[in-house]
Amino acid sequence: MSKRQISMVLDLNKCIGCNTCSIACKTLWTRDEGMEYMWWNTVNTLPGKGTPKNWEEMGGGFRDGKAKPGHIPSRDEFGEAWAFNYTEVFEGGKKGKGSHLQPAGKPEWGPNWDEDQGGGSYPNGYSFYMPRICNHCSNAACLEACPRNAIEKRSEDGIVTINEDRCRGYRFCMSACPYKKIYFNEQTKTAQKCIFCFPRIDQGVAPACARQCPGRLRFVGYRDDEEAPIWKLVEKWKVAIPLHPEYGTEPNVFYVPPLNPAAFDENGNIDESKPRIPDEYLISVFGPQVLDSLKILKAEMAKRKAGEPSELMDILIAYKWEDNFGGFDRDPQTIDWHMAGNEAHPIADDSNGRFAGSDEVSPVKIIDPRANA
Amino acid sequence: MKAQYIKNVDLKQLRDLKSDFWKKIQPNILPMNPTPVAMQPTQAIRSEWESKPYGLVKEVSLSAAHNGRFVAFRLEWTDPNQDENRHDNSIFSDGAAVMLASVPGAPVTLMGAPGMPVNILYWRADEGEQGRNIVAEGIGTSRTVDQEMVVCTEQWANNTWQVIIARPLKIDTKEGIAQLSSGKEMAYGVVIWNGAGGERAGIKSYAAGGDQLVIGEAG
Ligand code: SF4
Ligand code: SF4
Repeated sequence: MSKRQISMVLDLNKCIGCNTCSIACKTLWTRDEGMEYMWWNTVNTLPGKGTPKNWEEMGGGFRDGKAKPGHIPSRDEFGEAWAFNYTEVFEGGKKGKGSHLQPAGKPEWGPNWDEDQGGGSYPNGYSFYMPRICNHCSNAACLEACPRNAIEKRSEDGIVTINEDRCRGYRFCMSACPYKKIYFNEQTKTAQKCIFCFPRIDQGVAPACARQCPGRLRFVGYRDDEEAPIWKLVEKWKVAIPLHPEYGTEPNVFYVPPLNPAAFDENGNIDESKPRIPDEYLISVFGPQVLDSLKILKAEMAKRKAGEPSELMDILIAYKWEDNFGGFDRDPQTIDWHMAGNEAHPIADDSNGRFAGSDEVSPVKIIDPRANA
Repeated sequence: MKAQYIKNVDLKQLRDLKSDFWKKIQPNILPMNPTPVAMQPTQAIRSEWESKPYGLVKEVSLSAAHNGRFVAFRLEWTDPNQDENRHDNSIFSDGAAVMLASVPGAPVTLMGAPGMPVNILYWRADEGEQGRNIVAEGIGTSRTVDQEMVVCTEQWANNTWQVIIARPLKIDTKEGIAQLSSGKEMAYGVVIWNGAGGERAGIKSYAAGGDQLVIGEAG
């Protein structure tokens, strides 16, 4: 157990599936050789097979307190980083003969392969986006599985990291993590995963995937900070819930579940008695707590519509973007990352001269309409 | 068993699978067994492997020789697959190691104990010639102390691995390695990992040397 636990809440009702978060993470952390196929942050469409393909059927985690055997996802299940024919397209064109941009070979799966397929059938088709990172679990299956004690949970904030000096590439963590959020690097021969941007956290900066999300749907902060959104969404309002709580790892990433519109009946009329997304499906993803969470959300939405105040809605609207970050709201551009990295965590300035900061698009200010009134 | 003293050979010859002197040394055939599931250090490993076969290599042949400066261990075992680096997440390398008690009484079978280190001379197919000099003081504590002192020769042919693991008899270090010299005796063991069977870490075949390893007298 760590002294405090940092956490993320993602409001799925605001996710537009743009994958800006995935790119933010990719450009910051996984550009080295051996990391090409890694996406520490993924966004997939649910229902769907996800990344890696069919990860929810790969085992791992704990059932009834006992470790459940799991599967190590293959490179094909994750999806390789495809090589494209850029040179041919941009430089090799022959007169009258164009080349289309295409990947080499015939890939059969990739990290967002079944985008927007969703589930259900006309007129009641449904889908929602599911962004995922490592859950920095309180009962981390990866950490339990490692025979070399190479996985650590930082005592100050509960971030789960892999010590690559101790890791010998045995990959027991990859079978044990039920969320399949660990990758194997063939170059370094070590396991690698989301680090919750700890060099940024150490400097009071929210993770890149959270800061760069154009939908402002990610909240960051300590779970026990009663002044900040995480505690309010998880503990006070009880609308943010973990993904697959039955996996038994006690995740510290939580989701505000997708609001469920009413279904159409056979005549094309809205049937308020039936939800579009079957309850059973939502329960299979988020556990039974999802129905209570949706009830609370709907009640608070109704209040707000009626002109009454709602703290919950105000938090989720995220009027003031910086308020999403529970104090981790420093602008990374204001930090000298060379200096910052050298103090405590040299990883912040890695051997490629890359910084844990910046490359960020400045956010547009959203004005609270009430402030104008 | 004895690490025989061989006159007038250099390290290159000690490491050569074809050197003549190897033919004159009677190899020790050691039966191997899987390391028990109960000895695996984590719940995840125990629950995954309690019903899966491992310890696929059942027998290893071990010979040893030294030239007064370097010692070489020659291992041979049957393995129908050469598992080096076939690039997928569930593909593991073959590997082998000779374990030596660094101090009298260090429990080789348990990979040492606190204050009683065991020295592991380690080869892994994907790391090739560059072996590892490892020290452990109990299960899960193994630590590479250098990657320079242990050198390996490997060859896979006719469904058989032939591997030589060599190192200086003495190494100037404060680490808890086994310091070797003529006449010295110590407990030893051999470990083989069959990569195709998913073997790595404690999932392996183990042979305890029933006797002591003796470093033969020069002369
Ligand atoms: S999500 Fe997986 S990798 Fe991350 S802490 Fe939990 S068990 Fe470990
Ligand atoms: S928290 Fe940082 S390391 Fe983790 S997915 Fe987001 S950007 Fe990547």
